[in-house]
Amino acid sequence: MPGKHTSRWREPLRVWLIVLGTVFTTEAAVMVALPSLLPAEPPRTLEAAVDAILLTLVIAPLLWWLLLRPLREANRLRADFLNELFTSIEADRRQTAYDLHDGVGQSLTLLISGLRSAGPTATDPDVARRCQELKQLAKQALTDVKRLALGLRPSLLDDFGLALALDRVAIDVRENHTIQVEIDTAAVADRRFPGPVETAAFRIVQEALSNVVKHAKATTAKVSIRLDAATLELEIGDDGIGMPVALNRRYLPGHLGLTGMRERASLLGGSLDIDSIPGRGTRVIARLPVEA
Amino acid sequence: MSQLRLMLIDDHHVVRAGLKALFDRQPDMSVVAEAASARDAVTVVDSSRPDVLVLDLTLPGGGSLDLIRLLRVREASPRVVVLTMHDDPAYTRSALMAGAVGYVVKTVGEQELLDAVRAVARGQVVIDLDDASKTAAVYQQIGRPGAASGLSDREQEVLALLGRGHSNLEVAEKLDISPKTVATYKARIGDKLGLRTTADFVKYATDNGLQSSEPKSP
Repeated sequence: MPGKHTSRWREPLRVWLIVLGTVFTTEAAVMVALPSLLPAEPPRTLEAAVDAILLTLVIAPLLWWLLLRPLREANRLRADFLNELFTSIEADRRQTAYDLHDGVGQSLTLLISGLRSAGPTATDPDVARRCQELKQLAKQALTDVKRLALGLRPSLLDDFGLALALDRVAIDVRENHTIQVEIDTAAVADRRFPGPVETAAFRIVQEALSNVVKHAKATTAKVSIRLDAATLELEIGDDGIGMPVALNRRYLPGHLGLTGMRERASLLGGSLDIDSIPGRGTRVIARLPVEA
Repeated sequence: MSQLRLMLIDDHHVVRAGLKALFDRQPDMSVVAEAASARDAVTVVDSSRPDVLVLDLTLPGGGSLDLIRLLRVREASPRVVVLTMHDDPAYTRSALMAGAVGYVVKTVGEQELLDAVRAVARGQVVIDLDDASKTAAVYQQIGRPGAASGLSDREQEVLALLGRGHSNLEVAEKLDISPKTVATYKARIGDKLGLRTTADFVKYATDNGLQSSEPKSP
């Protein structure tokens, strides 16, 4: 009974055996057949050329069929899967944010409004004070719910686009952390891009800022956005402790955020580079292709 | 006394019920229609002819802003007060640009909401984001007077009536105050806004969309 582990290896192993077997058989057959194909005592170069050509003719379609085609298919499946995964994650987040904002948030809002109106009508000063305290509590809860919704997916992104959504995220970081955030969204003000581009750009900046807050021990972060005819470029820099760049060249378990940023960029045909010198900050640069 | 005819559009039943109870308790207001979405609102507006529409911004299926735009170009369209969870100025700007004249967030107290609806019915622009600095910023951006110009409700009311070309005496009758009080209001408004003649008042009110609608017979 092949276990999970063996079945995962069976397909590549089979391809390996087929390729080796074919090369071996073809080469043996060519060597046997060559004397009858060529004139007696052929020049060495002619012999080598015929040998190489025959072998290539057999190997080329075989490799195409057994390696290239499945690899391309696997790549396509992977991209489709990631696309669908990201799309469904965004849909879930949008829905949860909406439920939080318009469900829980709505109830808290009514609570605040009610307490605000009830307080002044109370004849007992203790009741009035209690109303005031409860109103403050409900306001804090509403602020928290709004923050959660913002982190999940701000409605600003869908309703007004990248510039306002990113401005809002920067405000949120400033308000809740001791880090200075500079952001300039002028290049994309009032500009709308296709949904996947806006989402990817937003998530990349959000993730990068969240990394700065969590890991960089930075005092300032700067987000610059540039737009030319074909490319939207996002740069997030900080003055923190930096990180070993090699660490981020490939997938590493536990570094899902960075991998996700890179995947988002590459699915759109863009790129993501991380530039860092330990002790001298980190710079994340994403480039996303956009229609002129 | 003429009653303000209100229509409520909000997908949350609890919100609508609460608002309806609040408005119907006021002697000068009555809720004449309700809807849960923007889709069928237009026909309801046509049949029930509300003076003021209290509209949620986030409705299932969307369309709140489109509804505002659609109503604006119609005859005898109701004035729209947006009542929403969104306290981000971007939403305020887009609602005002679409044609809403009021924008109030749902956390304000009942009295503030009632004041806002009354003020909008008088033709004023009212913004209340439950945050003084945000609200002031939006007033500044849209460059309209209203609360930002420092006029009291009563002063705005007097200004709106004068803006329609009513004499001091007519204003006094309509507001049930003495002509002398009207003169005092007029002087105070003139000081605040730098207006002198009656023509100045009319021009200011016209330029700023402050004319009050005529009181309707009940």
